[in-house]
Amino acid sequence: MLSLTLLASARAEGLPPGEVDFGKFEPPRSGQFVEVNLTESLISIAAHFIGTNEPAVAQLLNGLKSVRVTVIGLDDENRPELQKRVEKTRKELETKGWERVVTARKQDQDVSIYLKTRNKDTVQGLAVMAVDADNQAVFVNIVGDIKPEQLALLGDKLHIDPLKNIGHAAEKQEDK
Amino acid sequence: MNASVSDVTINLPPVIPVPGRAFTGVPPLSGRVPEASPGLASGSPSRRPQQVVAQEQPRPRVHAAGVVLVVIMVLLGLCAWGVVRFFYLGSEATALREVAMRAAPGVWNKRFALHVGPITTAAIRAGSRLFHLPPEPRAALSAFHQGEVGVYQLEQGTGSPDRAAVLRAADKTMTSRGWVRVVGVIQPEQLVAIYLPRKSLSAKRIRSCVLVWNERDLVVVSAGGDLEPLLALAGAGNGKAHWWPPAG
Repeated sequence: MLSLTLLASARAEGLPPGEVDFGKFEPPRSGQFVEVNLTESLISIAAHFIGTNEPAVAQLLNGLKSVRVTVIGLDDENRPELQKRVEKTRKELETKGWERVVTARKQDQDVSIYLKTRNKDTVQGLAVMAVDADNQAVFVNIVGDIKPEQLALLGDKLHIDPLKNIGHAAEKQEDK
Repeated sequence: MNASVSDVTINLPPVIPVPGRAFTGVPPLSGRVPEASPGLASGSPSRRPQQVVAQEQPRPRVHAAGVVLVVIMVLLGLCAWGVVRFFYLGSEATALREVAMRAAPGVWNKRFALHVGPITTAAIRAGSRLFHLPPEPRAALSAFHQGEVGVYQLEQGTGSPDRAAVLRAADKTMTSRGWVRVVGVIQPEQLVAIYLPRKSLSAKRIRSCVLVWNERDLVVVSAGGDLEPLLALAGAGNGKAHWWPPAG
């Protein structure tokens, strides 16, 4: 057990900037499970496809290195473990210099968004953790070179509403 | 002029071997030819050509017939293999199918299995050049290089399998073969997994494997191709073509 913990810790230390080690997710016995893991080469192909039609999206995609989205249905078996994992990941991110930009808690819903920035003008990583205790948990990690003004577009394309709001706020700051 | 054979002196270029003596590569100087074999020396000039004809003529006949026979058999074998191959899946799709079937032991009925290889798709592409086709289907034909699909159904009476266990087993099998899962979806009674090669993935050469399990129906798909014709078409559309993302 100790060696496994050390191994996981060593792996987390060696991650590229912007990448978050949420750990391995096991599909629940009942309920839904969705996992999307897009690598740089696949994102690059997608960027080529939409290049001429939506150049802004293509530019955003060309800056991305990986996109990982996991949605897990919660049941009595996995709920405590996943809630603990969210808390643990939050602490880790805060100690590693990630900036918590959104916190939303309402009834059983808990959403937090973290950004890893470089020189204040580039976002190297984005992490979203959302737990709806009655329903599902969502983990999102996007790695790449993202301009703050591209966050709204990213939130729009990935349907992350809080990120859209952050992006619009960033755009307004840029305009000023 | 009436000299016997043994007295004849000849001068041959060094590359021509003297009859009756092994060619050593040493240029023969002028001199006497060693005693020839009695048959040649005693003079029956017509005997040697007859011997040559008798020894060499049957050999080409036997060889030609054999070669033709082998070629025909190989062609027939290739044709038979090609026809049989149409109805059998390749290794990756078979591995995915086996993983799923092991997870739900029972009676599986094959509904449909079809394999279209690169030779067939190349023939279709070549044949399509004879016809006028709009650019979109032509690009699709150019992009599709090989594919296979198998549809199977689990007979009633078998319990519902643990789809999470199927996904784990499929991940293990495909990872060992150099594939990585990019999409995995589990819903009640449904499982979808999409795999891509871990390395050498490009628009020019893309391959994918898909496993879909819906209630009692299992579908495995493997496809490979070149996305560049589609990319070129999307680029040539200059905002007019909406291949991706889908309109709406």
